[in-house]
Amino acid sequence: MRRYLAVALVAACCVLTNAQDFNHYKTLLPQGLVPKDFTELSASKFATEVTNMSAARNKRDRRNKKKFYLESTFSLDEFLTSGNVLFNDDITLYTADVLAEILKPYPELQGKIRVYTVKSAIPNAFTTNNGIIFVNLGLLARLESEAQLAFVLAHEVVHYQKKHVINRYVTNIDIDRSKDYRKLSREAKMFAKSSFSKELEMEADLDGAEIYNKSVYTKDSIQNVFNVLKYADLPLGWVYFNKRYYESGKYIFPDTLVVRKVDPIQAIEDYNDTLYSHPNIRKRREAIAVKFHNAKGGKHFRLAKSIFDKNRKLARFELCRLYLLEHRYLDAILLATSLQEEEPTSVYLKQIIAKALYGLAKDKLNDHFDFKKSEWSGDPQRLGIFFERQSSYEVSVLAIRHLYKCLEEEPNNKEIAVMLNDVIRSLDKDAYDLEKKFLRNASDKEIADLRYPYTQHAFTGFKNNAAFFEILDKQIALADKEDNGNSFRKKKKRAKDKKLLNVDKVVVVNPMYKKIDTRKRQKMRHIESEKVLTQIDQKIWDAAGRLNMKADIINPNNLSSARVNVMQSNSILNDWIDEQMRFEDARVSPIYNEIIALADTYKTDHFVWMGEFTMTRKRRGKGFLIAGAIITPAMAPLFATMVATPKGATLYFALTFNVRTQALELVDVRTMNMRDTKSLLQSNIYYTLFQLKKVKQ
Amino acid sequence: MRIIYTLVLLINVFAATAQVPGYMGKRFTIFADANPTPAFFVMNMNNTVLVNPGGDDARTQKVNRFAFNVRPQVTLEYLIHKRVSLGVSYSMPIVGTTRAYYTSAPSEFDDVDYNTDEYDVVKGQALGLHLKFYDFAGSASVPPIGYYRTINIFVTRTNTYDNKKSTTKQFRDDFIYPAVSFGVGRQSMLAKNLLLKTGVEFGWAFVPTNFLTEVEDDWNVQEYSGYSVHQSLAGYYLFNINIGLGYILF
Repeated sequence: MRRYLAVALVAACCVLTNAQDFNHYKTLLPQGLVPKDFTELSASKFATEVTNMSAARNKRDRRNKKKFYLESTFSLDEFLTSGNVLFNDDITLYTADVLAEILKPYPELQGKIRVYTVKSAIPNAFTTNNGIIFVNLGLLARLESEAQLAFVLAHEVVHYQKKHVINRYVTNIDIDRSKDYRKLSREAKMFAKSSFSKELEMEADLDGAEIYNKSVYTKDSIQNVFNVLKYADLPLGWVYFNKRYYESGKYIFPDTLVVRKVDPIQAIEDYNDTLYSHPNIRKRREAIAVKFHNAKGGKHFRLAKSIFDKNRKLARFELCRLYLLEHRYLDAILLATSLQEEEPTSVYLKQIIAKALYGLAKDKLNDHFDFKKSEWSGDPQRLGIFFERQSSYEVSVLAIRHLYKCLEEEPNNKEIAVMLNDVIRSLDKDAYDLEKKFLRNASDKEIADLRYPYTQHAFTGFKNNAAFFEILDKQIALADKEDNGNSFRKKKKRAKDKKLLNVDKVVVVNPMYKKIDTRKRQKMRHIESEKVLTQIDQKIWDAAGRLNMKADIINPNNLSSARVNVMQSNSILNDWIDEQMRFEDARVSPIYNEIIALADTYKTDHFVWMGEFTMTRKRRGKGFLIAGAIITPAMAPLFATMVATPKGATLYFALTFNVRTQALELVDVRTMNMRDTKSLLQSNIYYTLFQLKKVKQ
Repeated sequence: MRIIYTLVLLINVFAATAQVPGYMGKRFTIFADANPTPAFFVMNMNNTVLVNPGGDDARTQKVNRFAFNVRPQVTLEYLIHKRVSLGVSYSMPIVGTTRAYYTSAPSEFDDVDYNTDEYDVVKGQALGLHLKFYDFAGSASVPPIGYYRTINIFVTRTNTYDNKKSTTKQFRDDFIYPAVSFGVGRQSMLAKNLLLKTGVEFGWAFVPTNFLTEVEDDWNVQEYSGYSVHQSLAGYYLFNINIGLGYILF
């Protein structure tokens, strides 16, 4: 009883603390107690899996299965701790409720299957061999009803129930290596794998339909779930494009920016699926139709439509953030403007649009704007072409306008302020006499001879025009100063610009360690690598202690169930570093405020991503060494030692970012012609921290 | 003395300005080196000489193709730069040599007639100063772990003795010669603060090299013994294997 009360209390706290305000939306983060899936060591999970392994046909089958468990357990845990997986958040709890509903007739499966949400824009769901179903936000954002979610979950349950994941793995290895398939060409093998995979998917559809049929959900229109797959490649949005959305007063875009005719939406169901992992949509739809031929009735929503709508809205709000992080700015604008239909006053959505425009402006200014017309059919194509036809100057002006509007609403928003300053400075470097190209008051005389005359009216409709132009003039002055100083400074940069970082505290994020031994059948030494990772915290603390530094470590490999804050930080930091590493050009991160809040929490701006890869391999040329030992017996001990010891290579890296300035302040990368040892790793970690504390950078 | 003052001054300057990590901030290492050196070019008791510049007379009686000389050495090193160590060493070289003695009192007009004692040893001390350069940028780790190259200067002071334990010098004056060597190798850390050093060393002892050019038959006993010492020292420093254990003190 006490346990139930505790769970209820935790759940209630989660609900209370996470009640979403869509006006000032806060990103979804893991909540509550960290589930065992995240805290248990992979080595321990692997041992359990091997103990419970089903009977194997032969020695090879057993070996393949064992390899599968090893690889899948460790890669799954890497995914779980990557920061991309949410637990105990509103959406995951809701999805788990739906799963519980469809599993009601299957008590043997209840408790064995868990569900988590993945921060990914791809409309997909997948299952692991140990019973974890992952549902992407991209899928949840596109579903039309709770019943559709139930059908997807039922399909995934079958994958677990029928052990499809391991069977697919073992069969694929069989196809690659077994004598039965030896004479097949590469294409034929791929066909064989695809055929087997399609069989499994079809079985999951059909058996999933059986599970679904026993639930309370509707049987009539469930085939519509395949429409989600059918249109999965199209951008998500439902409002028609109207350039008036971006206009006001005399700030009116030329009609030439808007295309009249767009490519019609075309989605083919009966495509050639020969080498696909799934049957084509038509085959799946037809197979399911047979199952639901006589079935009728049921509900689209178990409780209330509003609960589904709220969770889907959460997924869509979250998707806007993901689009910004992936620099899919047009997707973000389309979805955010669509969501504004329902939440017209949402500050969050306005900021999403302003941040997306900032990103587009930076893309245009850096010649990185990439619009693939073929991927944008239907009305959304107008939006894409609207921005494609605009110059970098026009988009930048639009971005400045939107950013400042957001700043007027939230004057203390650092992220928006930094973006505004950045885009003004970037534009100034690209445009001559920028400050003279805009009317400062609506009543001012129009400026003649402008290349884009309409843009002079862009900044006349603010609440306080003077305050805006104060910012504009200041940033232009700063940019001019930077420009003038550049040529002179480059020569003197080395000596003058080096400074002592004198960092007193760092946060080490998700350290990485991989050990590879090419001499072994199992080359990736997962268990040994994990052991090092569980001990790495102490090494970091030891090194920091010697330097009188403080170090906080966000290491998901050393988690206890109470440390949800580690997973929350990891989630934000993973999003941030992922964006920094994927995109080269410098721009303000769309989650700048989130990362600054973390820096304030940890009381440092310096975050370190570090890791090590170490490889052991066979020594080549042993014959020469043996010959040398025979010819010169006195050197035999030296040669014998060389013959007996393998060669090693190690790569250590540590990237230190100042998250407030987004500067990569220290790149510490070393390759070593030796195998890693405890002391070597310790020495490398110390040197990274040493440089942050004592060496001029 | 002036050199020592200069060195102390240099170390102080380096220590004050260098940004040197060391191992967890520790930069001072003490090594105990065994340096088991194959007896390629130098004989010893129980050693064979594969290349024997001294001729057959210099060959020892017992043949052992795996013979090694062992040169005990203590080395102190201090990291003065992130990739450079300055070190001093004290070693006690012991190598075999051949001493000649007259069978009868020599007369001025007789041909030289003497026997040789093949079991004598050259013993003494060597004081060394070296710079060790770590391959920091290329393919190694943070010093003192990693690959290195050394440049050594030694001052050797030796004499010959009947055997290893004897303390009676055979020559009135010690042989004092400089030697230089160049070494390459690797230092790895076996356990916390415990270093293993392995490498090889090529060197040259600045002894008179008459024994390479002059005809042995013309040598008198004194010259024969002296040249033997020279060739022993030269051969000894020509090639060495360096193996040592080190501990990082502070």
